[in-house]
Amino acid sequence: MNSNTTDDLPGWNWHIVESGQRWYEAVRAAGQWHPSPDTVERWKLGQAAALIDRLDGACQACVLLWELPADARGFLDALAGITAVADLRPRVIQLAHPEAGGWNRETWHECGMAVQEAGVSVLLADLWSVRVVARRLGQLGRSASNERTRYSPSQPPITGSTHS
Amino acid sequence: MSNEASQTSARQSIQRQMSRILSRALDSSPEVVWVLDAKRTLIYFNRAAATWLGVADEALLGLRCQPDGEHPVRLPEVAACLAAPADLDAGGELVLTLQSPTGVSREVRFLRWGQGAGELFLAMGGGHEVRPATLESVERAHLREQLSAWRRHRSSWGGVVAAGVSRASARLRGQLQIAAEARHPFAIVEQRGCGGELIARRIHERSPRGGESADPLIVVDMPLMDAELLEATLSPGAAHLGGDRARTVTLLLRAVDESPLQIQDLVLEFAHRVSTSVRLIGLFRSGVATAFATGEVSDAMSQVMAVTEIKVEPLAARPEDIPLMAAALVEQRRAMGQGLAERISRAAMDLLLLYPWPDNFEELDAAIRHAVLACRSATIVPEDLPLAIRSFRVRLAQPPVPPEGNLDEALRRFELDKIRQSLEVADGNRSEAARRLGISRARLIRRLGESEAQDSV
Repeated sequence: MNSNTTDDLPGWNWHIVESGQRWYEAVRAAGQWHPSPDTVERWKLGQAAALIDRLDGACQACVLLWELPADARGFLDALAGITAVADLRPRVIQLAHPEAGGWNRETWHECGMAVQEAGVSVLLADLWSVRVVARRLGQLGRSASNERTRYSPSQPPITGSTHS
Repeated sequence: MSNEASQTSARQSIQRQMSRILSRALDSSPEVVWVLDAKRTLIYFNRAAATWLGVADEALLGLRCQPDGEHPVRLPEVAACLAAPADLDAGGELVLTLQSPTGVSREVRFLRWGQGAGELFLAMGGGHEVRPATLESVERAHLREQLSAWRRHRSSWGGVVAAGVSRASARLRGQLQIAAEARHPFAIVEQRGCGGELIARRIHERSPRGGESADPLIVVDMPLMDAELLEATLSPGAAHLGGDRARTVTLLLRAVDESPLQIQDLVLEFAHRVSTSVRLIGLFRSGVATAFATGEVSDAMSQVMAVTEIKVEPLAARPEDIPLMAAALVEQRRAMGQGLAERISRAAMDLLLLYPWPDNFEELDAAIRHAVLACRSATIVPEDLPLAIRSFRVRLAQPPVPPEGNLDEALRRFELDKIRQSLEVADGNRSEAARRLGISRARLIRRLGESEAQDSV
């Protein structure tokens, strides 16, 4: 994510699930604010199964960011993805944010609570808040506590890639 | 710093804060908003505008949006759409219906402000239909069904963590039962991967207001929070409570002793504000008292959490539980329709018992999952286990080293080695190292001091 990286800090692998590129760009930009050598990949909601396969084979510390779609079908698909990730790798940090413009407050509160039950542990306030999370992760160096023993070969990290 | 400089700095700080607040307010608006400068260059647009245009927002800033059609090759349709009308007078306003490149029409009001180089063109949406998301009754039912299935699933995993024949597992089951019946806050103390969160979910599921009832469990990653993120993360819970005393929420606080003290106090403030409606479950790496002594937990949080403390022992401390836990995990996988395995062979079980399990329950779960998927019959054999487990050997082959010096000296060296190993595991935290060894912190420090004194002689 950030080419000016240091080797002494642990890296995080960000996976962004969204329809556009807003969060992908925001996370990439967040790399300018802290020196952690992270990578970031973008996925579309329909690719959640491939994302889960990727996580199954990976040893790295991961952060997942879900932009939750406003349509009910899409939201339920995202919820299924969140629970699948929580089952597979319980210590992966999952973040979520409502898709822009599509949610009313009442429905978002109901659905936001549902994803929190499923394992999302941070609801993002806005694009700025990604910087807070990225900075905190860089400070904490918590990758060791996020890693989990994997028995399949790890994938090489991909810096700033998108899946279309 | 001079008085004037500090005032300038304070002013700049306030300006930065204000622009951030304004930007956030505009960004959360469902109405499209964008601003062009005097050269008709796009200098701001909000999230709704990006969605309406159907483009990645970062790519747009700096785009020239000329009314005469002299757009750059890049994004010409977007530039045409955002351009201010040529006949807009200074200080005037115009309302136009614009169509985005994705074919969605919106009514937009253009305002022209300022003069010369400071001139601005402000565009604001309005008077059009916004599409709020709604959940129909069928979808709500599906959502509830999906969540209930997930709760039961995770709760059953928590049951496996507490399974076994050891005294530690029996104590854990007893504590779990008591915690499920009470609603007061409690701390779960665990080493890496011990399944503390699964235990918390089990307790929540079995509590009178958990399970199928309306008490939601909200997970909060404490170390990642600042005040604003915490507010955003707790907002659905606050909305759910909504002043209704009959409603309740359970907050599962991850890694409390790694989080800023200010955040710990803000969580308590939230809980106090809504009184008895919120139950707190905190996950800790070390005991609450230890964390308080080392300054990792605030005074208020330690007072709240120290009442009930549930310790989840690492697998290495309860090896007699491994056969039952492993069998239960195979059964869970089979119930989920994964693989053919129904049992574990004696040879494979021996390997599971020998392995030290540094990642505890999570590693055992991952190993069984691997074995179930690799197994081609009803019985898991050693070859189905992960390489790390089947290749693990206890180091007994080394010939014993002949003792040197007298017995006291040998004991002293043995004790010191153990202390150093424990300090390494505890990242230099002396309280934690002492706790792991089952000795007092004072004794640990005394031994280290004696060692340093002897080395210096």
